[in-house]
Amino acid sequence: MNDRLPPLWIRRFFAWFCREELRDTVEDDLITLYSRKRRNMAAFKANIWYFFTVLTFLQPFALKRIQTNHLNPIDMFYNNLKIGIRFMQKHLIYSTINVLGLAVGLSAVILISLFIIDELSYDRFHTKGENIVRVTYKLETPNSTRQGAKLPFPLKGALESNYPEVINVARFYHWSGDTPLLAYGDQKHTEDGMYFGGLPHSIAFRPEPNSGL
Amino acid sequence: MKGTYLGEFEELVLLTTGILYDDAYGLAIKDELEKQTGRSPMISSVHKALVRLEDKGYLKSYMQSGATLSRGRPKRLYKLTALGKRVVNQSRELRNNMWNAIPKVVWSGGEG
Repeated sequence: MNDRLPPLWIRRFFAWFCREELRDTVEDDLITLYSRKRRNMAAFKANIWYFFTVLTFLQPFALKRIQTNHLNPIDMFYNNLKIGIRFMQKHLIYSTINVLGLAVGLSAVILISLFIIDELSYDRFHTKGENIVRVTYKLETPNSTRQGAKLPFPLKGALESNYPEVINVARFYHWSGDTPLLAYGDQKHTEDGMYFGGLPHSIAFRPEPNSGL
Repeated sequence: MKGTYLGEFEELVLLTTGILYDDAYGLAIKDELEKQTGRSPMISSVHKALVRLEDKGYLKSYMQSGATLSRGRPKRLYKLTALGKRVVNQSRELRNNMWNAIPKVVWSGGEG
């Protein structure tokens, strides 16, 4: 009878993945089927058949259960979650107000932070960035109010001569006409978003396209 | 519980377990199914159905006391539980009711 047993390595493989409760019963069935096959089949063919039949048992129902450690904190967490959900179902109005309030508060904080972070991101590259000021205007007419940063050219002189605390004034002008053709030596090329700048040497300057700066 | 829904193959396995009564184990069920239905299910399908049916509570497995297989290991046998019997009965009643609901004219071929 012993020569009728399937190869040991396949049997070991089966024993490795199969669940304890099923292993003996299933293997007895498999071995009986195998010896039936061997009656009218070459050992080689029967072995292949056995291997593929073992492979068909690679399904969740036959696999070993993975031991999950039931750690107390995890169970406690699930319990707390359940209690929380039940409480919310019981006190529906209270919970709605609570959750909505938290959502509104959090979104307000996030939006305000984004705005402040953006505002503080200017002039970081400059050692005296704290002292750089952008001049804007606000024009109020009976019908409307306009705001912007487009100011007249002579403002530079007026600021520098009338305000002692103003050390330097930089002004620049956005070319909003057609894309100009630039020539330097014998190189010629077109350039989008061109600015004319009159910059004092002490201010390094990085305009960003379309920033309206 | 997933309700009393029963697959076709699962129902056949339940019925075969009933037929074999006190000697229903994996391979015997496969052989009996082959004899009754003419098709030869995979041994893994049979075992899968048995595990599922036991999970659903329609079958109960027990280790055979005394007699063992040729290789000296106790044999795991299955038997129908009360719930399993009820489910098989419900399934048959459903079929009977639906059979009775079919008008006679269908069988006499009147519709052409």
